[in-house]
Amino acid sequence: MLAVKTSRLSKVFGDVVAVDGLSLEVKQGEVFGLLGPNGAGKSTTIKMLTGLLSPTSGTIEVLGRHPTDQELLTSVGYVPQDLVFYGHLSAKENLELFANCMEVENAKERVTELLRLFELYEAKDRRAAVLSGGQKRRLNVAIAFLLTPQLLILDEPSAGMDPQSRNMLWEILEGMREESNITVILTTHLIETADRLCNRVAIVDHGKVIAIGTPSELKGKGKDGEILEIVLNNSPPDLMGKLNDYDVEITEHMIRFRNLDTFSELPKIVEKLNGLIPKESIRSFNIRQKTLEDVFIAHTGRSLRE
Amino acid sequence: MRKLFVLYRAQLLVSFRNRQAFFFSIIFPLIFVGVFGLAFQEGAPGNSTIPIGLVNLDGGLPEGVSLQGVDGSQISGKYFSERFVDILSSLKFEDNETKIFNFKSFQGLQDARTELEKQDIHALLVIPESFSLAMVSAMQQAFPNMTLQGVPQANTSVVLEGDQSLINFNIATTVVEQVLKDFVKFGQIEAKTVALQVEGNISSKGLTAFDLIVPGLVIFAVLNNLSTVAAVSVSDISEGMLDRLRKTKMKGYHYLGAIILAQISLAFIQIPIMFFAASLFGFPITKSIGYAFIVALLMALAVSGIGIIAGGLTENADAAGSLGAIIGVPMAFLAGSFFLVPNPTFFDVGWFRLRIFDFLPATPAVDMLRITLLNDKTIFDTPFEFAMLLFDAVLFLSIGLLIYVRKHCKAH
Ligand SMILES: Nc1ncnc2c1ncn2[C@@H]1O[C@H](COP(=O)(O)OP(=O)(O)O)[C@@H](O)[C@H]1O
Ligand SMILES: [Mg+2]
Repeated sequence: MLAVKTSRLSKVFGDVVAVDGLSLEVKQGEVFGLLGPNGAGKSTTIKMLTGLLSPTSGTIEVLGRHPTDQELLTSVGYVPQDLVFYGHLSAKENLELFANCMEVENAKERVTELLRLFELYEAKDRRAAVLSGGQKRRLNVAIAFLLTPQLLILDEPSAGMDPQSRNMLWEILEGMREESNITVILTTHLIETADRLCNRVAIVDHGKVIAIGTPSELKGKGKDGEILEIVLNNSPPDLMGKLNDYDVEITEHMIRFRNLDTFSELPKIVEKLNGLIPKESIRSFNIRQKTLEDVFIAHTGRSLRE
Repeated sequence: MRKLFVLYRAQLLVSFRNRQAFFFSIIFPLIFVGVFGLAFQEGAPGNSTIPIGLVNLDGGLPEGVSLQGVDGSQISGKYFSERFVDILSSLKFEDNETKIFNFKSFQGLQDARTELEKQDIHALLVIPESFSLAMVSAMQQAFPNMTLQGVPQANTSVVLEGDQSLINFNIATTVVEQVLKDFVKFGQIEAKTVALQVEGNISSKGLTAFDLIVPGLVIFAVLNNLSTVAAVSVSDISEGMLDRLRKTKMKGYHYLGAIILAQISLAFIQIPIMFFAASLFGFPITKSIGYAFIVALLMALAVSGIGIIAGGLTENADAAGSLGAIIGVPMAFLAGSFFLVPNPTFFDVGWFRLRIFDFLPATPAVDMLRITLLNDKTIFDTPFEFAMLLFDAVLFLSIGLLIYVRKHCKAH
């Protein structure tokens, strides 16, 4: 059975098409990522999956049910993108409030367990509003762990987290997946998060999927997965027609070769550029593995951070 | 039940830990009690002239009867009633400039009562037919040696009619009672032949202006919670709290029930604090204080409803809080919390007279508190005010809940 299946899902706000004909299938037990820049429609998609927004058109099945099915209240955990808890209550009081609303068994013990797991125990009696940024983020996530859901949906869990908190969260997630075979859907605009955590990633932009696959599939396995970037001190000369054999992108201070098997091609490239670009104007020469960012740029011509 | 309770506890903790809310609900009204208490605690209440109607039905002394006054004046005809009105109309407030009463004479009771209802006059003094005779009887009680032929014994009552919920009427009652007491006093002896009958037999106990303001201040305190309800209901939506709670087993009625219960508790905490503070400035606490809790309960329901409506009209918590204040403060003023505000009649079929501001819950609430607390009356003496307050509370709460459920308890 699929954990989530959407078909031609769309959401329109006035004249903004936030989600545009999105068809996704998330298998049970996988960690599925939605990677895309701000405004790509990730949160809107998540809110439709959780039944908080109803789609303009298209269909959704979550664990074989309609998203607003009451049965899902205990089997789906949801972490909103924004910090959502009462700032005037302490971390402990917030967790207890949600535990009671979720009808968690042995609520008190579970709350203590989570306070320790998310390293909030020392700060448990402080008003949530005065916790540090990382502590607030952790509390926001911890609330969704009160129940052990079959499907956990996290909207930008790593945004605003310091690297330590982030690592802690990834370890907790992995531990949880070892214990029970839960499905995780998360959104992110961070390449590292998607790359490190996800079994499969859908890259989204303007409400559409532009690429989908495992991170290594997306990056292009093996030899053609490298990038050569030559950074210049000044604008490159007119290279029109001279580099036609390559997938190349020329910007103001950079010449970027994509999908390159650098080891065998590098000598030829150096030879070609010799004479076209004076040696003094080359600031640096970088060879690196292709990232999901490059995949995004290749599809949209923009960077994820823009 | 457990979910309702934990949400209620959370709402209550949030209002108490929110410094701004705490200030507006508790500290600010206490400052008002202090300021008004210091200003008006002593004697002379108010300082604006009270328009009062006069129907003098005094038949005077019998033809040919005449007495010699202590000051040598001739006492005959309607001397007593005219003198009584003279004294009243010459009275001034403590500032020695403003007259307390501005008398307007009427030939018949009917015309006078019409003006009373329109609040062109705030009290109506009716001097009875046997006033002069009763005054002579009073003198005979004081001076047993004095005999007067042809003057029958008489007892009577001066009647003061008016709306018991008006500050001015209560002031008039206090003043007239005092003047009358002195008027029938000869030497050390206080005659009992002329009594003051206040419409509905209220026992006025020499109230100060501050005492008359206290009920308004108490309602003002409860109205100040409007901002908090409005702000909380909006921020729970805009900051995603309601959405997050909806993804638990919590139901909309748990959440709304918690808001309402928290409001009721808050009002129940404010009532004793406010009255205790007022008692420090001499406000008389009677057993009628129990009715204040009934009024507070209904006000809390109305405030919850209006707060939620205000929240529904705004996008963020700050705007909602301001809107709450923009609604609450004028409502306190229109209820006559601080000074008399005319309340135009909307609908009048004799026994049932609906006035425009009765549709704002604060107005019947203040009236009901004034009548019960200051005159030691029960809720059965204020059926109209009670009914209107109940009506307003149910009306506003229903509208608020309806808006909330339709707007926020479904997917969009
Ligand atoms: N409630 C809303 N009303 C109007 N526009 C909205 C609303 N929610 C989201 N949008 C718009 O939809 C687009 C997608 O938003 P969102 O799903 O939040 O993106 P992401 O989570 O990927 O950053 C944005 O252009 C955003 O401005
Ligand atoms: Mg988002």
